[in-house]
Amino acid sequence: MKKKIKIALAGNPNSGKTTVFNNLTGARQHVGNWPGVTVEKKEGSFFYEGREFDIIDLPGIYSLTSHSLDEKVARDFLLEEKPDVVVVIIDASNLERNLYLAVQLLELEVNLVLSLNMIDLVKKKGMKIDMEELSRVMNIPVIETIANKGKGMDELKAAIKSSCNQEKAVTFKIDYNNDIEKEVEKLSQVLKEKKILENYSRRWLVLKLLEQDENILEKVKKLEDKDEVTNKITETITKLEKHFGYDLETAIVQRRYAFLRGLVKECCTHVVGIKERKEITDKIDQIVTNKFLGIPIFLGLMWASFQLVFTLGSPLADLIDAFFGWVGEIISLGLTALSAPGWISSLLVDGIIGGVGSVLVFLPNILLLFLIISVLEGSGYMARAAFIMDRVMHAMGLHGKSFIPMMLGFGCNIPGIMAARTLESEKDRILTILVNPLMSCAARLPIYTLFAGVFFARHQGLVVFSLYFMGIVLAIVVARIFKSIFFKQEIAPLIMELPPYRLPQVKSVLIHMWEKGSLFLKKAGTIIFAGVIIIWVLASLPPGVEYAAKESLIGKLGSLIAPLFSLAGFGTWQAAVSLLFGIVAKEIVVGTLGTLYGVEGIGLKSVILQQFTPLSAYAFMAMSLIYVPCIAAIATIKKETNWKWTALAVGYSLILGWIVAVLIYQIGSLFI
Amino acid sequence: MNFLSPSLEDYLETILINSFRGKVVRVKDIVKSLNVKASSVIGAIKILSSKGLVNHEKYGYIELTAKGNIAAEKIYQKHQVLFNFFHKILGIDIKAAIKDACQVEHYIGEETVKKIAQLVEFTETLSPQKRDLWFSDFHNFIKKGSLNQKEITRKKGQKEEKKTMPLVFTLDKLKIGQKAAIIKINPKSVIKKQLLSMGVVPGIEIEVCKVAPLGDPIDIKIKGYHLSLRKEEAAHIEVEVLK
Repeated sequence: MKKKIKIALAGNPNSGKTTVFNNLTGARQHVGNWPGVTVEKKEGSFFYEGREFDIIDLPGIYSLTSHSLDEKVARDFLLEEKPDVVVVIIDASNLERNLYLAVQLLELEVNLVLSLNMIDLVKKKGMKIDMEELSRVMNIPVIETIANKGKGMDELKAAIKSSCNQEKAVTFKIDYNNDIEKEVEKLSQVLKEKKILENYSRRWLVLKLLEQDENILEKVKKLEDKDEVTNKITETITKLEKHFGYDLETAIVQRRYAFLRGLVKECCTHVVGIKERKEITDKIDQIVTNKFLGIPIFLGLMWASFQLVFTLGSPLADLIDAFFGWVGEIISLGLTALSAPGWISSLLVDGIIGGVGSVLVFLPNILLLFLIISVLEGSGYMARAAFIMDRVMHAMGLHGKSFIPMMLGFGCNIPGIMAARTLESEKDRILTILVNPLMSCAARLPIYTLFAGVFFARHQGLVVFSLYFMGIVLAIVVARIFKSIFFKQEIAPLIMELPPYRLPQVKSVLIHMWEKGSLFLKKAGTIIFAGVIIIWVLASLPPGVEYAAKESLIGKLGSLIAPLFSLAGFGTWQAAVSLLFGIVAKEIVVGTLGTLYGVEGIGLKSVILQQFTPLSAYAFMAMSLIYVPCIAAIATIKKETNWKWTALAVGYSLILGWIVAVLIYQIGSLFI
Repeated sequence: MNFLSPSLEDYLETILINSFRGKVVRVKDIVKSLNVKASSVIGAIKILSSKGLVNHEKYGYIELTAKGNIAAEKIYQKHQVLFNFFHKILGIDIKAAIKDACQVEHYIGEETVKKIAQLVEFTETLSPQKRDLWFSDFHNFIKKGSLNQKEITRKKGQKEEKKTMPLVFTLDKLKIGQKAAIIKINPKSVIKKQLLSMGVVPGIEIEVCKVAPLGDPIDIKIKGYHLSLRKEEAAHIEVEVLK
């Protein structure tokens, strides 16, 4: 039995890494988290010539310093897990910067295969890259690929296979000037004598120490006789800095880039002289980030996105709704025919089918939302959105990059909260996480669609848009308040690449959609299912009580808290109970209402029409938007921060939700 | 150190500057920079290498030795001081200031350079308003040959004659379409690591492409890709404007 071969995929953001990954693995992949942190970890596998290859997609990074969590995760994996082969995906149309990561990996002495991706774009630009020269200088295999067309994948697999058979191929070395080299030599000797961190490449270690890499410095500081080494390092740095006249890290990085510049010059030739032609990206940006058009286009796109979710999603949702109604009826009839006890029929039809059905109905909307999000990301517009919105985000105490977690929050707060990992500063991250639940996630959609559909049928889009907008405004206010209370200091910088516009890949979009959609389904299948069963039990106890009657446990609980909500116009025990169980997951608010009123679909709509007024319906929707993140979100917040911040997130949203709902109802009542 | 002729000093300086720009230095680079014949460059490099100031072996790259680096830095520093004095204080335009600095650097004594450097530094410690006032008064004086009383007793903070003001260039001050070369990133700024790894290294050419609709952040083109950053971050990057 041959051992599986472990491969890691590395590359800059936007280098087409994910597309290569999807091409290599196809459906044989799954998404998880890196242990201990919540950076997304994609794993997959493929067979080639009878051997199995496990492939891990590292986060998209520019270098192997440890200034961001993504870089640290990638680096730790390479250092600790020691994959057999690392494939670096290079955006060939931006060779120099992309190769920087490859050079760092070579210094780390990993077994490298270079995939020059998007080579077709290079040819379009009238450039030619000399693969052989590149391969010779760096002493690694170089493969041309066009991942979005699936080209070069077999060659890549072959190169991976032959590369993992080689023992240690790396003899690559950048010549930093004489003075640095001498010191590197001396320090290497010291480390060798002291036997310090021997499982790392020594030269790499010394260079990282000279670059004052915090992570590595910490590791050295943990050792026993560290003093001599740390002193020696500080001494060397001071000496070299005095000699160069500026800081050593800059000097080292500068030399790395100098090497690359020379290399790229030698390997690239302009075949045709179409230099300085305005690229398509620049042309699009001239319009999309235009001083006057930029913001209207941005708002227009957001508006169009939500219209799309509704107009396209609702007919499909109706179909699923009809299907579940039909299934419920069949089972109910069948059970009656078998003369099963009433409670079994009730559990199946009222509890399980009613509840889960009410959730699945909204899958089309959720899939569409993720479709839009992944198109925005894949096309490169997401970065422009951050570029356009940064001034605003910055003003609310956040970061242009916070826009992305916020935007994702519209789909589901859980990936939104997780995406806050892209923020380097902890303060930005915590603020972004705290206000993220105010971004109206797709799970609140069922509530909006139901209520807006019943009370504001003609302006459904507008009403729902107003709720999303309300969430944003509240997020701004809350973020500002929290920032002035908890974080008065400066916030993190915005340094972000604006990638070239690209046509999103159908395959990547579909995989992304499927991933997020199935994540939602898993949630629906476990937490929500449990929630629905608990409701059913509470609604059926004490024994003998009529299902979900006021005398049931759930009815008593609801009656207890209902008076709190009479100020907001929905002081019924059913509304109170449904909100209570919305904490389990916001999706089940509608499901609970259905169960409590003992109806679903059209029936539920007519009951709601009697129980609510348009005003109290709006207050109820606002309450559902704001109050307490769902259990999954609470768990994620806890995972990303600590109990203190989690408690704050729960506490403030509960109070704020109630205040807003009451204000809407009371002020609204003055006018209507 | 032995005596070096002005032209040898120029060679040393050129090698140093070229290496700042992040390039490996070849004979042809020096030919281009100094506009001299390749044969004279080779001759000069031989002399410098016999004095132990440069290494010239591998692949035809030229590299300063530690000793050579010190000598070159010394000349370069003189050059910088003189250039700053000519350009920032006297208001001589960039080209002429560079040319004159190149001449004077070989003959001026260390004591004089030190005093000039201190003068330049002194003007930089003045409050911005005071400095503006001082400079505009000085430039008016040059124009008119005298300074009338009104201008002297002017209230502070008043802006005037902005055009004649010498500019300290940080990236945030550039306008759309301007090109510049990176000089350095403030070594104390927290963004240094990230910028360096994205290729923002001294010597690299950048172009300011656009400003976000709301006035911030800005977008620059560097190494063929677009990078956006806020003005407050751009203020940590010192650049030299290219025409």
